[in-house]
Amino acid sequence: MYRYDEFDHAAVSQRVNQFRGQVARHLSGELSDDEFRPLRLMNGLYSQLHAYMLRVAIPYGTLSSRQLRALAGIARKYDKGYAHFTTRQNVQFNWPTLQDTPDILADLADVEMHAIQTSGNCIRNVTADQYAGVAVDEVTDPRIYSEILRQWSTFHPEFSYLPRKFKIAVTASRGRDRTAVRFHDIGIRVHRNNAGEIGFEIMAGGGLGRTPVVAATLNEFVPEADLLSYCEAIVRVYNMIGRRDNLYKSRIKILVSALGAAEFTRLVEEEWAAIRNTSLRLPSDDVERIRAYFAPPHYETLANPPPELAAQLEDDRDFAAWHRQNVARHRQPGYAIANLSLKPVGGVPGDATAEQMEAVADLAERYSAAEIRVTHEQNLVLAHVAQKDLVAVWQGLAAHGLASANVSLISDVVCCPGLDYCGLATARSIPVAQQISTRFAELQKAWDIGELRLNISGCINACGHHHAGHIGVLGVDKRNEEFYQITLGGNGEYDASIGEIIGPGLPGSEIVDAIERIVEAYLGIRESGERFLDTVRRTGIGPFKEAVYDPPQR
Amino acid sequence: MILRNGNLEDDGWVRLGDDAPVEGGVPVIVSLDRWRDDHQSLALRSAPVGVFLRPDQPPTEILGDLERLATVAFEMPVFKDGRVFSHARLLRERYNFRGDVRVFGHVLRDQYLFLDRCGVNVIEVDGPKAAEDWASAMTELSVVYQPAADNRRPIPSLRRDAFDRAGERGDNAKADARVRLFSHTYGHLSAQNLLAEMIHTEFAGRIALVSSFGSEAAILLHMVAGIDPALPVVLLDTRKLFGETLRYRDLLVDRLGLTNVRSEQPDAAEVARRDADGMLWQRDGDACCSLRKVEPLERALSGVDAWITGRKRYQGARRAVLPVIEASAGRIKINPLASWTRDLVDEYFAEHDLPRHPLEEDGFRSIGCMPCTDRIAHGEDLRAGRWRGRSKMECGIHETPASQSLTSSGL
Ligand code: HEM
Ligand code: SF4
Ligand code: SF4
Repeated sequence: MYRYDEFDHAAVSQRVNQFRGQVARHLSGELSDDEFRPLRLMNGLYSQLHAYMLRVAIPYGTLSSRQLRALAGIARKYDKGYAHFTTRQNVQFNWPTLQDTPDILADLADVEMHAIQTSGNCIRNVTADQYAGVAVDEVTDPRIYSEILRQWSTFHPEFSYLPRKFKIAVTASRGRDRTAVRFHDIGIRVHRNNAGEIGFEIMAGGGLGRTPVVAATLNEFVPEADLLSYCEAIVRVYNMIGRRDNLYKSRIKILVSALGAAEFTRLVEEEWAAIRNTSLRLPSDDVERIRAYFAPPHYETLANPPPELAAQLEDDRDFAAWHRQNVARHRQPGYAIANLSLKPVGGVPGDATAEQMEAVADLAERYSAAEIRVTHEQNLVLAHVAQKDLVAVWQGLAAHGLASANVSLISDVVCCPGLDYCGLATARSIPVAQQISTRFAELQKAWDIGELRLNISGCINACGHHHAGHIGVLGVDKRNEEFYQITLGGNGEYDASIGEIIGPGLPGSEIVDAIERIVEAYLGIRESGERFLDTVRRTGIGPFKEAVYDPPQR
Repeated sequence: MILRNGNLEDDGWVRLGDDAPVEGGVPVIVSLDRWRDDHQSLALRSAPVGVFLRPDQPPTEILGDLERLATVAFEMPVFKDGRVFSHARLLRERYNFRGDVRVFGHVLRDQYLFLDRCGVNVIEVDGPKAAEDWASAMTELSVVYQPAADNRRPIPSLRRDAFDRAGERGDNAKADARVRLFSHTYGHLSAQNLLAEMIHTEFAGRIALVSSFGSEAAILLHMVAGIDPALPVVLLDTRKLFGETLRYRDLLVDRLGLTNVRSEQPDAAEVARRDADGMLWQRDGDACCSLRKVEPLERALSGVDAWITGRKRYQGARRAVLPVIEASAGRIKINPLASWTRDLVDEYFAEHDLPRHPLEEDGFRSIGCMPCTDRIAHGEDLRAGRWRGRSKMECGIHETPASQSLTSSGL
C-alpha cells in the first residue's frame, strides 16, 4: 500500500501544528465561531447534536493493521471505545473534545493518517473500489489514480473554498461498480482503449442529497496523462460559475443539470485545452512510481480450492453460510476475499468497538497481508486470505461478533447516524436498521430473498444513500413525529438509478411491516433469476405500492 | 494598510466610490462599471489606475484593458466565496498580468498562503499584526502538491529529482525503464502470481502465451488455465513439428480446458516461394526459422503488448542470465519460470499429475521441429539436441540482448 515519503510526512505534521494553532486562537476568542468553522471542517471536525465529531479519511479504503490499531487506540483513549465506518471510506469518532483534537490528529499522523478535507467545501477523500488489486474484474488498480488525485487535491490553493463539497470516486472494474461512481461529483472509470492505453471515462454532476442526480459522462476517454488537467478544468469551471446563493443549489450537479451536460462539457473542455499541456501533465514514470506502492503482497502457490475446504463446508453449516455469502473470488488461485459484516442482527450498522478493530487487525496480520479494506457499504474486507485459512479467520471473526453472514442481503443495511447523533436529522435511522436486521435475521429466508440493498437516511441529505438503495428509507418529520418514506428501484452501480417514492410516509411503527410486505410481494412475482431490483425494474412500483397501501385482506 | 508580498506598507491607493470625484495625482482603484464609463478620462491622468472586480466578475471582463491597469483588485465580500482564487490564477497564469493583484474585504489570515499561491501579492489589512500572521502562514505549510501561480516547486517535481539522483532512472531507453519498474513491482512474485498480475491487470486483453507444447510446456499451460482459460495461447506450427507434439497439444487442451489455442502456420505462398522442396532447414536454418517461426510469431503477436514464454535459465548457457521480465522489440516478454530448476519442473509435473510429452521417454529434452531436434546425451546441455552439429543456437524469436550474451566457449 501507499507509504508516506518525507514530503507527505511534512505535509501532514505541519497541518496538525497549523490546526493546533487555530484551535488555540479559537479558544482564546481570536477566531469567531463563524471563522473557525470552515477551518475545523477542513480538518474533519464537525459539531453534532451532543458533541464534536471527528471524521478521519481512509484514502481509497485501504488500511494497514497498524493504522486500524491506532484507530482502536483513539476510540479507547479519546472516545467511548468505538468508531463508526461511513459510506465514503471514512471513519468517525463521535465524542472527542475540541481540546483533544490536535492530539488525535498527531496520533493519526504517526500512522500516516489524517482528517484533512474530510469535510468542508473542498475536495474530499477520494474513494476507490474496496477490492482494488484483488478483484477478478479490474483493469488495473484504481488506487493508483485515487492516490494521485489525493495528492493533487490536498491543500489545493484554488479549490479550498468551493461553492460546496466535492467528492471523487475511482473504479476500474470491468464488471460491477463497487464505488457508486455515478453518484459522485466526479466519477472516474479507468479503462483501456483499443490500443491498450489506460484512460478514463470521466463523469460529473452525480450526487444524492435532496436532488439526486446520476452523473453524466463528459468524456469517454481522457488519456492517463491528462487526469489532473481534466479534473482541474472541471473543478475550476464549477468554482467560477457554480451557484453560491443557495446552499441547496450549490453542488456541481445543479450546475451540470442547469447548463445541460453538453454545454457543461464544452466549457470544461475549453478550459482543459488551455491547461492540458502544463505541468499538470502526468508523466508515466510518476504513475509507475505510485503503482509500485500498490504491488501485490507475496502470495504462496496454493491449491485452488484447498482439498480440505469441501469437508470444512460440510462439517459446519455456519461456516458454510458465511462462506457462501461473504467470501468473494480472488484474483489469485487459492486465495479469497473475505467480507466482514459490520451489520450484526440488531446492531448499529457500521459501528465497531476498539476490541473488534484490534481483533480484525490481528486477523489481518496473521492471515491477510496485514491489511484491511473499508467498503462504502460500511463493512470491512480482508482482501488476501488463503482459502485454507478461511475457517480460522471465520472463527476469529465469530469470536468477536463479526461473522454475520449477510453481506449484500436485506439485513446488510446501510444507515446514517440519524437523530441519535446528527444535528441535521429529522428522524432516527439506527433503530429502523436494527428492527429490519432483526426481522430478517433468519438466513435461510434472507438467502431466498437474495441480493437486496436497503439504505436508510435520517434526513434529506441522504448520507445513507437511500436514493441508491434497491429499497430506500428516508426519515422525515411530520408534525414532530417520525415518518418514513419508501423508495424502490434505486441502484448505485454503473447502471445507476434513483429510487422512486411509492407513496405517503409511514409512521415508525409501521415501516418494518411495510418492508416485509414489499419483500413478500417480490417473492410472489419474481421470475426466475431476478434480483429484487430486476423485478422492480420490470414491473414498476405498482405491485409494491399495492402491497403496502392496499394489501389483500386475508 | 496593505501587505505587499508580506511587507506592511501604507496604502498609497484610494478605492473610489462610483460617484466620488477623482483627485489628481492619486492612484485610484475603481469599479468595473466606473472603469467602463470613465476609462478614457482615467487613463489620461498621470497616476496609475486599478480596477476592482466583484466575485461574479471574472477577469475576462477586463482582458482588453490589462495593459492600462497597474492593479487588479478582487473584492471578497465573504471569505467563503472562493472564486477569487480561480480569478487570480487566470489573471496571472493565463493572461500574464504583471501588475499588483490585490484582495480586500473579509479575508482570513488562514487564506494568506493560498492567496499567495494563486498569485495575489497585495492584501488590504487592518493593522501591524497582519505581517506576523503572514509570516507564520507562509511557513505553516512548506510543501505543496500541485502547481499554481507561485514558484513553489510541487512535490511531484521534487520527487522526480530525488528519483533521478538515486540513479534509478539513468538514460536508458523508455522500455528498459518500464521493465525496471515492473521488475521492482512484480519481481518478487512467484510464477503464478506474476502471471495473474500480468494477465488480469497489467496487460489484460493484450497478452499471449507462446508455447512450444514441448517437454516442459505443460507447466505454464496449467498455470494459465487456472488464471484465464481463454488467454490466447500460440503454437508456432512450423509444419515441421513432430506428430507427437500436435497430439500432445490436443491432449493438453482437452485436459486443461484451454479455450483459445491458436496454431500459427507459415504463410503457404511464402513457403511455396522460399522453401518449395521443404529442405531450406538444411541449406539455411536461419532463413527457415525466419519463414516458419519468426514471421508467423510476429503475425500472431500483432495487437499484443506482452508475451509469456517458458524459457528457463537452466536450459543452456545462452539462457543463463535470462531475466524474468525483459523488453523485446517493443514488447514486454515475461519469463515466469526463468529461475525454475529441473527439480521444480519435475515436482510441478508430479504434483499436478501432468502428462509428459510422448517423446521425452525417447530421450528428447528440448523439442522443436523434427529435422532439427535430436536426442541429448546424459549431462549434455538441454538444448544440445537442437540444430546439432550446427552453430545455430536460437531461432531468432528469442534474440538474447548482446550485452547479456554468454557464449558457450566462454564457459
Ligand atoms: C529456431 C528458433 C526457435 C524458435 C522459433 C523457438 C520457439 C519457441 C517457442 C515459440 C517456444 C514456446 C514458448 C516458450 O515456452 O518459450 C519455445 C519454447 C522452448 N524452446 Fe524454443 N524455439 C527456438 C529454438 C529453440 C532452441 C534452439 C532450443 C534448444 C536447443 C529451444 C528450446 C526451447 C525450450 C526448452 C522451450 C521450452 C519448452 C517447454 O516449455 O516445454 N528452442 N521455443
Ligand atoms: S442523512 Fe441526514 S440525518 Fe443522516 S447523517 Fe446525513 S445529515 Fe444526518
Ligand atoms: S527448427 Fe528447423 S525446420 Fe523448424 S523452422 Fe527452424 S530450421 Fe526450419
